[in-house]
Amino acid sequence: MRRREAVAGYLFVLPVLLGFLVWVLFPLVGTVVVSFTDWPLDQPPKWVHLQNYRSLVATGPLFDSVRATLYFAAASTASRVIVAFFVAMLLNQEVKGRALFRTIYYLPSIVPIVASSMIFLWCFQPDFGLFNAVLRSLGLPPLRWIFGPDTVIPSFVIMDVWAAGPTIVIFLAGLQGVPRELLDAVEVDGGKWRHRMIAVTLPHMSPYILFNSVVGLITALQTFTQGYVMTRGGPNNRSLFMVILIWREAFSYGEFGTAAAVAVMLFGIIALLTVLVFVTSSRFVFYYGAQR
Amino acid sequence: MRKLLVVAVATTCLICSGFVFASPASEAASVDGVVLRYTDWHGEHGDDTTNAALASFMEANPGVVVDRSYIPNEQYMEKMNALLAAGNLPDAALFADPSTIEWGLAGRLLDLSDLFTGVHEKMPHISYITPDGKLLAVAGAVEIQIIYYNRDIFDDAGLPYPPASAGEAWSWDEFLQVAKQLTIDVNGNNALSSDFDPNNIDRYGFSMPLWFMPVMTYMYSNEGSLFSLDFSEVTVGDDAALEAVDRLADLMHVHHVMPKFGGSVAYGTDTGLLSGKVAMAMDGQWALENLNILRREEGLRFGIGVLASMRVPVTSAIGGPIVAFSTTEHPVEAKKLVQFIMDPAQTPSYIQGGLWQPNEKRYYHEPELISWWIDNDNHPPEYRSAVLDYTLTSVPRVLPIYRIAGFNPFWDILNPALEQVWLGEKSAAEAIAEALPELEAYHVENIVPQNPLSAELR
Repeated sequence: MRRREAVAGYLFVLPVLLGFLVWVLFPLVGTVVVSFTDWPLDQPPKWVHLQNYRSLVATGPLFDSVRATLYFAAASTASRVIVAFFVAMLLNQEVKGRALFRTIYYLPSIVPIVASSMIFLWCFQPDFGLFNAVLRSLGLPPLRWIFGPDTVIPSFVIMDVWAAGPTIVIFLAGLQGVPRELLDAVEVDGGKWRHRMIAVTLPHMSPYILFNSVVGLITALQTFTQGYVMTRGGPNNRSLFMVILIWREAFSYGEFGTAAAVAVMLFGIIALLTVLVFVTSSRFVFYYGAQR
Repeated sequence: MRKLLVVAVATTCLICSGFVFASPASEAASVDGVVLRYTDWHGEHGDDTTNAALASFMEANPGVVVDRSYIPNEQYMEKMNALLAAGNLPDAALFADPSTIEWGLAGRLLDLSDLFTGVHEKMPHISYITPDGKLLAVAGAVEIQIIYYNRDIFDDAGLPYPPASAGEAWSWDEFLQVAKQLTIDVNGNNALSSDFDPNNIDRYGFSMPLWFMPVMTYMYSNEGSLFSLDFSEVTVGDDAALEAVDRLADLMHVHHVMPKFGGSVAYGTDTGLLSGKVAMAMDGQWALENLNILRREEGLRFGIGVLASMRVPVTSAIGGPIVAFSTTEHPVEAKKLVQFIMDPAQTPSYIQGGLWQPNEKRYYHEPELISWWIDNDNHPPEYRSAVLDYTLTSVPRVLPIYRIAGFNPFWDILNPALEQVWLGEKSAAEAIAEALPELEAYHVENIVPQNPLSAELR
């Protein structure tokens, strides 16, 4: 009986295991191997040791690309988490039309990214775009938005925060679990909103903040579509995200070895940052009811 | 327990069957004879035209079936590379311009030198030729750069229309004068007025996209270029090329007659002219098709003119190549298909509708064929001199993509430098001087010098 249960168990995990091996592990190892080769695809790959890495570091826009990726990841993750948290707080209030507001805030996230990129392309247009029209009507100077080297990443961050629906939903779910009795206790003791927030809400929400930060960071580090559709990595390489560089090397230049080398570097950055967040998380994440 | 086991086995089998059945590419229904696979990106514009041409080919070649696949233009090379890696390239395809020579030098394309002879001789402007003289492809169409303008705006301003022949092309100063008169701020002042407010412009006199073709066209017009004629030197740092770049940037930052960098991304030729936010727009001949749709549906009155001249009145030509792959098992039939589909007579709606200029020489010289092409509502009266004659007389040299491999990476090094000029942050001399060492290093390593005559057209 025990043996049959074990067999059944293995069979149950087999689909996932097979999927992992075929779709994750094999491509992962393959990418690392390809990064050490010159591979014109229709000929056998040629082993070139570290040549792809060397040429990436010596020339080309690798550093611009890493800078753009890290800048966007940091700014968008922080903005998304902060804005989504406060929007979730608002949507958690007992107000009339709450369901409607929740729907409205979630709606942007179901718009396909290519479609929203095209819409924002018009909104960001410097001469006739919506955003500059608003700025002008307020007597403020117009901005270059995605067409300015200093404003392109902040513009993409605005787009990213606009579609923060899923992050808001996770925070909302977390807020339902903040113990009411603790909030009441603070209130009975004369505590104000900020005391409830610092002493109860934030500690209880910290696992959700950690989750959204890690997921947001990983997603942001792999950003591609906005930069590809709207700026093609410009201006002056300021939005040349690493995934765009991978795409360019592979599909525009046919340099699959170099593309794989950039992919390995990106994997390293994501792994490093994720480990860093998890290692330091015990200092700021509180698990209610967990053994300390 | 038994039920559990069954569910587990069934799920595993289902997943595994996915791997097994998903792997082979879907093939056309098997027929007795030859099946040719053909890919293109004409889904949006020309499903019917391409399908009709392929049907005619199959009718003329019994026993040959063409299986056509549409691949969106944006993912075209992605898909081609995937097919290359899988050893599953089609037999023939509409291909991506900048990669053609590279793929040819890697031995992936058939030599088509024997294909377009006699009456089917193609235009030299759009022929992809390797340093050793192999003809790898010819574009399905010739497409030159011209100016489109909104006639109503010129009429309202009381200005004559832009010249429609190379011999009468505006000088740069004449062009600037007109563009300034047509650029209007929100208070109604034009760019010649001392009260003009450059921060609140309601209509621009001119717009152009800043990708390699228009930029290089004006370099040619200023007697400069990215490379020397034999591609042995990078010449983008020379005075003529730098001056051309500065003059284009000045349109945005000094004269204020053109939307600033990024402006033309959202305001294309069609929307710009239709909305009246742009009076003149530089674009490829291909834009004619969309403008004709706006003429019919929205009443847009547009005209065509030749480009203003910086030093010499010239333009340049481009077009998407149609290739046959060397991996084909049916080289004779694949070349036949390329020859057939490259015949302008097989794609009349592309040509008569304004999307394409014919790629064959005789369509520019024989009155009957010229009439077949341009005597219709889609081609305004000035088209003959502004496009047909202009193509014959004023394209001085081929674009580099028709001769050299490695243009894409070269442009991707240069373009961030140019963007700094377009943004008004640096002069062309400053920005390009910074990029020049990397450009030259790339050139030395990757770009093969050629016979200087090979790139020249006049």
